[in-house]
Amino acid sequence: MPISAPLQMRRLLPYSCLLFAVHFFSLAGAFAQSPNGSYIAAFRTPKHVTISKPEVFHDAVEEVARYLENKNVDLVSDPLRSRIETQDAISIDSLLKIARDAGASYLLYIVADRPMAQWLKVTVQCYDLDQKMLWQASAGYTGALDVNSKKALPEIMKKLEKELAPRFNHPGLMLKKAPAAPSPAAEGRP
Amino acid sequence: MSPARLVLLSTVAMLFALVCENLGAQALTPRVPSTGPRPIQTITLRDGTEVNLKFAQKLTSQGAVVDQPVELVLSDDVKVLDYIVIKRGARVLGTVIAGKETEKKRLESKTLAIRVDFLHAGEYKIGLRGEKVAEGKRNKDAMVAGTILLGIPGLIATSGKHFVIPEGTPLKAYVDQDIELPVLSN
Repeated sequence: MPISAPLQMRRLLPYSCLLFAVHFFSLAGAFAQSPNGSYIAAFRTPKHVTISKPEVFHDAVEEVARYLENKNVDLVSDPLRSRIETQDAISIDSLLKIARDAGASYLLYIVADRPMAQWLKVTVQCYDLDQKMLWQASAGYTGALDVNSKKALPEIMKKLEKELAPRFNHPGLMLKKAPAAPSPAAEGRP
Repeated sequence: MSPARLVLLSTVAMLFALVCENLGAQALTPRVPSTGPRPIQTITLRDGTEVNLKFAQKLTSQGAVVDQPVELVLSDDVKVLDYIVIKRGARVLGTVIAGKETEKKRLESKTLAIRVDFLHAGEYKIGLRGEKVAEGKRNKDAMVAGTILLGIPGLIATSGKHFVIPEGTPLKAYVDQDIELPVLSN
């Protein structure tokens, strides 16, 4: 039985929509692989090693990383190992090679220090892959009347958040691209 | 809207998506140095092949904790019959096998040794074997600084030797099993 031309086109319409949906999502996928990710590595200074505890260091790094994740900053995880949190120095050159290898475009180098007059000092330095330091933010807590460093981290995070917030969606703290909303075609409606 | 127009519109939209995809892919290409033309042949890297590495980080008996990952780097191209199969600079990971048992321990370890685990080159993870034990090198600078700070000469010397493996220290490792690798351009 011969099929009229409009009917043929009508039959082709769902396939055309399906093809469009496939390409739409492949396009969204390409943009999800952002080239602006940041790689986090952390260093504990010898003074911090001598006077403070390792938990304070790891908590500080975890807190900064969690804050950045919550703010949707594009962080690149290392497929080969856990996050570098060390007291044996690794040169910036080596860290940048590792960051590049992991697919990141920036290095966020977190340094935990224990200066004589402060309970804790956290510095975040941002480097691009050409070894250029783009910016740094730091915060410390003196707490002269405190008997321990309990209050240090929350207070430092408050200060750091103020310093880091204006840098969101700028080099080093690029935000993840929002995933595309599903189209009606993708839900099976022609 | 007529079905013909609908089909035409959706086809145009699909083509537009294709063009955007290509443009996006070009713009998003990461800044990776060109490795030349695609490899056209493969060659077997034999078990036991020696590879030259160097430490990409400093390691000390004060800081190294057992099971901690260690960063190393390939210091020379790996060749098979004059064909380069892995270029220098490839990342290598090892593990501390002798060091402090926990990070909380204040006293430094009396021994320091690492094991080389694997080499990461592109999509390949090549198993390596090899070990490096720190050769009892006393860090004189640290000892002098410590003595001055504490004002008690000889105190650091009593705490045992301070092992240090500086960044850039060379070591050798060996390929753990045969692996087929693409030949790279020189």
